[in-house]
Amino acid sequence: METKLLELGTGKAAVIKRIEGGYSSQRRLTSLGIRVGQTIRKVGSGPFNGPVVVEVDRTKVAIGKGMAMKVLVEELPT
Amino acid sequence: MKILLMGNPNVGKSVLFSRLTGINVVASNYPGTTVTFRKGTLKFGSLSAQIIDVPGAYTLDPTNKAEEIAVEMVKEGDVVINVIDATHLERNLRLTLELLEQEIPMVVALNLWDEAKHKGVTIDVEKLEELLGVPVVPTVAVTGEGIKELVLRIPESRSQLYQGTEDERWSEIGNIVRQVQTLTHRHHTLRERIEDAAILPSTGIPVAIIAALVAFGAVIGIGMGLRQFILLPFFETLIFPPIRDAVTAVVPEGFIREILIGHFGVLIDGIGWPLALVLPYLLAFYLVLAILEDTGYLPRLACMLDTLFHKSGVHGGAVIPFLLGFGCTIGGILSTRMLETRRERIIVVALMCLAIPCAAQTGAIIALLAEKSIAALAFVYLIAFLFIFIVGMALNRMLPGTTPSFLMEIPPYRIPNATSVAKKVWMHLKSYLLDAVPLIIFGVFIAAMLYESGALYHIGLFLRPIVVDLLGLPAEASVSLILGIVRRELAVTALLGLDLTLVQLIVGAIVALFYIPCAAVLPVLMKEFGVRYAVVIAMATIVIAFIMGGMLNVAFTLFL
Ligand SMILES: Nc1nc2c(ncn2[C@@H]2O[C@H](COP(=O)(O)OP(=O)(O)OP(=O)(O)O)[C@@H](O)[C@H]2O)c(=O)[nH]1
Ligand SMILES: [Mg+2]
Repeated sequence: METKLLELGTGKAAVIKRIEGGYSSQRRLTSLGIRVGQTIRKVGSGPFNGPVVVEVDRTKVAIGKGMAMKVLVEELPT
Repeated sequence: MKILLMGNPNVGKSVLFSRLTGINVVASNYPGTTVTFRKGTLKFGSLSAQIIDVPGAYTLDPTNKAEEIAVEMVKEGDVVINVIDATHLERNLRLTLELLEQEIPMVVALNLWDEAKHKGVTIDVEKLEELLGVPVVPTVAVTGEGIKELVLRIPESRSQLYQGTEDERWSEIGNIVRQVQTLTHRHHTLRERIEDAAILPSTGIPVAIIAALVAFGAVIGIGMGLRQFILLPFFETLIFPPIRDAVTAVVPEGFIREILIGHFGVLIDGIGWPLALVLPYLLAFYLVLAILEDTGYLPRLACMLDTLFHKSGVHGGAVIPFLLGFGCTIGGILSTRMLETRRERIIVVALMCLAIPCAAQTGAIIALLAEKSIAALAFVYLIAFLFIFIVGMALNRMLPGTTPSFLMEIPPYRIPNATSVAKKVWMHLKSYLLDAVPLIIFGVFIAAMLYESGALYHIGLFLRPIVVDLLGLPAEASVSLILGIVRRELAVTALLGLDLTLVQLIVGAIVALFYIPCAAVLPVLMKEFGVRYAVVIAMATIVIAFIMGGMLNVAFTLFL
């Protein structure tokens, strides 16, 4: 089942299924390795609806709330 | 021959550049340190080549000004040294393939080899070399390991045509990574847990508050200590008396002697202001900044502040230009090249020119206020921060467009290395001594001339409606408005000898803070944003400085 990255539970791993939004934000995400088919793990999110921090290819990337809403993921069973 | 150092942000290109050329350039542990290219010469045996340190880029399809500069550079190079982060092979190879498509001869430096080993990442270098078709050399830029081999293999650089669509590119990368990389799985280390603590809300907020307090405390403490206990006694007892004696003995009483050692004496204030007053705070600030930069905390701070910053129309990443602006406004302005939109850059730069004091001005403000009242100092900073927040919100409403989302790689923590911190502090110090100090001396000279010739009296009369009636300052304070055009801190130091009341001190400090940043900022503004913007900023800073100072003056007279 697809969920928004924003709503994925902390510590959960997931596969990126779809990235919505305009070309420029897609491009920015892809350049950091956030792309369809990639497995990520959610590390947590910043305070007051802050950015979502994910681990991808052993790098941590902070993704602002606006973008994290547009990244759709499927949670992997643990 | 021109050799370009290209690669993703924060992979060690600038450290490598310093190693290859012997020229110190700033390297810090966050993406987007280098925002302009820097040239140097590599001499090695018979090989002599020009080396260019290029801003980091994730792709050749630029997403900000710094990346645009990188992409433009590609056409100019004869050879590319593609620096890649061995711990993040997959993401880094994307740019490698894009560079291969450019058909430019290439060598790959597989940097951060030490961290890769440490993190259990093993890479089959020969296999990678075979698959990419260009030389690959493991390096550790910070220690110099592998750099000789890298240079020796530059002549073997080859161009290797690769062509593919976006999807093909990624599957090719997947192929390569599968064949060359082995991961030893490691459990979450203590370090990683500490790293994450700075981003998670429950621990991140206390960490940020403690970091801010420690940083402020350290700057003020170290700066004051240096000034009160070392520099001031040194100049007051060892330097100034002999100068005074010598001048008094040689130069007859009159105009010239006054210029040299009188009020605004070039040999007294011209030396004392830049070296005993500003220098200690500049040193302290850059020391603390260098440590913060090298640990890797700044991107985490950016993450913490993102939601708050969004209210002012910029994302959390803007905290880095802001912090650099506390050092030097020009450095801060250039650093906004890491932001994605012109709108964000304009907001950050406007706020910075108005209400962020550079390190030199901070030193002057502390000297002016802290000795009278620490509360007054805190008050001035409070006003500045409130202003930034409120005007930021207003600009966010006024300017068309939206704020892009925050998106930033969070680097691992690294322990700041003493020599690289010292080198960085020295670089800033050197540019202060060479570029700023002569200007400060020049400013003092102008002040002395105006004062001794009596011109200041007439300027005081002319500016009376503003300086005296609006701001409630003595007429002589008008010298501050003239010197303030030259440099930010001069607007403050000019008030030092005036025997002001506490209210006047606060008003004076506020006006100086909001007033024109400094003469050297204007050409930078023109170059980055155009003449119109520079003129608007210059006008706005003057008007807002008077409005803020006037309002404070009225408020104080009404309520005190
Ligand atoms: N352990 C280790 N650290 C390194 C190595 N190379 C660079 N660093 C550190 O990595 C950080 C980034 O180095 P920079 O030289 O600023 O990186 P850059 O590629 O120029 O970054 P941008 O200018 O932002 O594109 C600094 O904190 C360096 O000290 C290395 O081989 N090993
Ligand atoms: Mg750099």
